[in-house]
Amino acid sequence: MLSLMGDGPAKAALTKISKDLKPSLIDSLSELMAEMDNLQGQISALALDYIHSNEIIMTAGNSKTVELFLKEVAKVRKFQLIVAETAPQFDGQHLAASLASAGIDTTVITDSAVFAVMSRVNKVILGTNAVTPNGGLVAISGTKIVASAAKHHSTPVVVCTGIYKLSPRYPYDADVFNVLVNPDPVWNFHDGDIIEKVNIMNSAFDYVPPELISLFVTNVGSHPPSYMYRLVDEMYTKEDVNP
Amino acid sequence: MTRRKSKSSGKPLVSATVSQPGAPASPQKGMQTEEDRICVTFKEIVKENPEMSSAVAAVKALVESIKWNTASTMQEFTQNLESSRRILKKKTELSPVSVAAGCDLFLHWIGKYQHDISDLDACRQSVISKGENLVHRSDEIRNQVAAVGLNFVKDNAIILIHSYSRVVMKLLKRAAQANKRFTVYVTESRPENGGKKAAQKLREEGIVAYEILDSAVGYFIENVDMVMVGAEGVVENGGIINQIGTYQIAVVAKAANKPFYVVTESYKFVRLFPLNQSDLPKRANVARRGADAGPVDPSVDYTPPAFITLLFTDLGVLTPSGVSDELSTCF
Repeated sequence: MLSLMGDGPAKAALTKISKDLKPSLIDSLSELMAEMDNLQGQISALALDYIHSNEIIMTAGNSKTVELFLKEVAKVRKFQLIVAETAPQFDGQHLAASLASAGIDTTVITDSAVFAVMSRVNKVILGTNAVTPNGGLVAISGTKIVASAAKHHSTPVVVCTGIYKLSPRYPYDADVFNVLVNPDPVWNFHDGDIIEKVNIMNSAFDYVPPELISLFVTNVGSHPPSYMYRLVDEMYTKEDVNP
Repeated sequence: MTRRKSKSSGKPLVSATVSQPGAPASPQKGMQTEEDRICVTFKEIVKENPEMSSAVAAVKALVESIKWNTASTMQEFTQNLESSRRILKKKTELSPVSVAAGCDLFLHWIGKYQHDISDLDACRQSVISKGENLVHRSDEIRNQVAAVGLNFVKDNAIILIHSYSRVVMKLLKRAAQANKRFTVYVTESRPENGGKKAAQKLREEGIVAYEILDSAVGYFIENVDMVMVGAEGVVENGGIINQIGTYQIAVVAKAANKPFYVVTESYKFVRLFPLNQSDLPKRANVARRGADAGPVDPSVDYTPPAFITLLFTDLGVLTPSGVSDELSTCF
């Protein structure tokens, strides 16, 4: 803020020739790769703090991070898992199959049953595709249903994610990050007649606002949504967002 | 040390170290001249620059006061500056919170970076140039704020704004120039009636604008996509102090689940931490009222951070929790 009284933002010396550029770039990329290799282990290490014996946990989608998180707890504790099937790709079903084979007591429910079952749930564990700087999520379609139902029942929502998923872009509106993908899983192309009469949309993502999230468990520790802007600030500069 | 004018009588107390500068053509009442001078300068600056923020005008007034300040030692220099700041904060009738923010920022910067310069003249020059930098850049700063908030204005949006705020006007003007189509509802904002001016200016830019009653905010909120307000000051916890009525609109927006955005420059950040409305400094609610205002009409209110979705500043988009971080880097 004191830069207000300076002479204005200095243009970075982007045209300067530097012999150190290539090696330092390679170094940074190796660092990033190492971080991404290790993050599962670091996140799972925190798992035992959050899931206790005989708890009923709900999840959705098919996040690798969540899968390893839950498997870590399952090694030492017994708990019940409810998985929302997450239509139309049914990622939740794949996750359930994987976790059941690890010996976890798993139940699959339809997305429409989430609210009905939520009253019995102790905690919700979710994965995400991206985290916005205000602490919101851009996650698989169906996540917002689970998060809203949890909020209504005052059930804590824990999001497991590596910080490489932090994005410096604010969600200008709920549709800014969304993509409409192939509607075939929603309604089969073979049903030719109906396709002409009805508009079928299959949105890939949900924006979940920070108010619905209790905690982020990341490879740099656990933080509330209100802290995410700090992590984004550390990773990005103004030029990265508005070149 | 400059003594304050005694409140009971009109007679000024004797001034000890304030140097009387060359030849000011002002009423012959000793120390009162000095006090009035900074206030008069400030008023002139505001009059000549209607688009300038009060905070920047205050800094400009302080810079002017340095120019006529003929202190001969560093201590005298800083004391004179201190007293100018005090007078300006105490006596100004226009946006006292913004003025306080601007003055505090400027003086804090001076205190932090200038006390090691032993040469008084060099110090003086440096301070003057830095102050003038801020004044020159104030337009650019507002442009940066507008650029940041521009993305949030989507096509066919209906935006609710409160009274007349220069930064908000700039943002909306930029949005219109970027060919975004939107409608604006502006509150009438009694008793100052800033809404009328705002609606007029918006229509000049080709923006569809409607003036609505202050009491009709609840009625219209369901149609509105977002609320945008300016701020006189942004406090430490990320809340804002703004023209009376802002808090009310924030509460309604929260109840209706509509985003509430604050558009402000970073020199409005102040080191205040109000816990409720009565914690606002008394001078903030000074007489800045229309002819038909009542005896207990406050002119500003405090909106807690829980009601604010995001702040658009020249430092980028900030969450209310991010404000205290920025403040701590400065102070």
